[in-house]
Amino acid sequence: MTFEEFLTTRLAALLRYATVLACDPHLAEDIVQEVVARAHPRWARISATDVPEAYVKRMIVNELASWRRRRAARVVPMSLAALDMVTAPGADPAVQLDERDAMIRRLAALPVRQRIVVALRYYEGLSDEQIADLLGCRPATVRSHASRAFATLRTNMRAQTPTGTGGRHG
Amino acid sequence: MVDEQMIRAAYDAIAGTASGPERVRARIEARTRVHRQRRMLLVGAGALGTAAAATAVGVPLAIRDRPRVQGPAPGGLSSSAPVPEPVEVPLLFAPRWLPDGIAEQFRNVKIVTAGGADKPAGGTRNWLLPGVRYANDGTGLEGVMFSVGERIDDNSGQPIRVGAVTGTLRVTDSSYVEWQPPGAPNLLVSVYGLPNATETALRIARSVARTAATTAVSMRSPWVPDRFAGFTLASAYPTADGWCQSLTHTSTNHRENCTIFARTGRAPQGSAYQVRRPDGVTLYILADPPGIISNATPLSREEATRMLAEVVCIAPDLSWAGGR
Repeated sequence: MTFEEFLTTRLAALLRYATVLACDPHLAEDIVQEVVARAHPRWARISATDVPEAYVKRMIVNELASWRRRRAARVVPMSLAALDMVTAPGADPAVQLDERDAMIRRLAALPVRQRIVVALRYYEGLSDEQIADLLGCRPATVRSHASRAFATLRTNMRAQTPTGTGGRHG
Repeated sequence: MVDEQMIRAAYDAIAGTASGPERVRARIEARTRVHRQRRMLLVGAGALGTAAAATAVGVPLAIRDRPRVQGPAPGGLSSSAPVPEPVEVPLLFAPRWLPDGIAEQFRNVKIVTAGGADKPAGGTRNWLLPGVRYANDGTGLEGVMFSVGERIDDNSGQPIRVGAVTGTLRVTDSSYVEWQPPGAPNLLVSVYGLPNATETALRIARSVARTAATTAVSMRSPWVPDRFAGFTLASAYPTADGWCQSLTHTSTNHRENCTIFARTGRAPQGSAYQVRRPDGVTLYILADPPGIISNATPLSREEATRMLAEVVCIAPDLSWAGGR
């Protein structure tokens, strides 16, 4: 597969992947652009692997982690504008959507490593071992990140009573 | 309880906000054009520079192409004379109490090699439940892990007293106790899959003390490409058919690393290079797992061949295996 063919068939999927990991479409766009530009000169080697897309996805994960280090001042991962794109008031009146939007905000507020682990588990459907391979850590560390992410999500769910749902205590 | 379906729905919604590929593709193509132009300029300048240098000093270019050999490695691990004698490396710290029913199955020691320092920098030991064999694939290991010089860097956990210092306790599916005695490296105990894991981890941590004990490293790489200069991790563990040892050479900034293995029996699947010795020991270097390649610059065929040809390895002293 040539680099051009790869971009034609997989760029949209890579952008979705990066958006889910970053919880920010603008940041995802910057990261994918950076990664793809760096992958281009190495494409002969990357395309020789069994799954070139997996290589590029790993680059995206690494870039996201280092991006955050470089922009340490960035506290809220998802920009307000980006959040509004997802959770525009009145976009759908259903109660389910209120809860989903609250979940998006909670996921976006997780620390980057925890966010990556949860996204890879639930969006990509990867096992802890596969995530550990991708992140270059032990599966126990992955489980630790996931466990802390869920503890945070649970705490935040208790702290935020969904409006219009009559409230729920977890 | 966090609703997993809700999480998936949230991710689907987030994915739906992704930018379209057209704009990104246009930006990538513009950027690639600029890079290509810059590279053409650099290639032109480089050709002129090389010609000028060769003319000026009259040095055959082949000399500069010769691979550079790193000096004697710290701790004698990469002495250029392949003497098959193990090198004793200090363990620095050890637990004085461990729960019943586990036995030691894995050891590694870390040696700082940057700048010819040859300094022991800790390592990791694993004591596992009966029937659990150490696997080099990161799978869950029920038992106790004790590391010297390792750190969990995620600002999580709660303060806990370990001796005279305040450490950190993290409880997930494992219990981790991390602390740093004055003037010592960071220490880490983790317990996974044992009853009362948190109490056990704390009790182990509070029993840790300095030790004069050493462990023998029976493998050395006389030649390592310069980019891996930083530290070396020497590992050894028993396997079903004998033993496995490895040397991982890592650059100081952790970006570059390579591992060379030696084991009895056959190399596992996925070996990029391997040599079967007449004594039944196989030396090998693994390829990146399918679909996953590290950011490290891979070993060239020439480098891998030279490392495998020069590595020195004898059967490790595993007298500690199965003990406490």
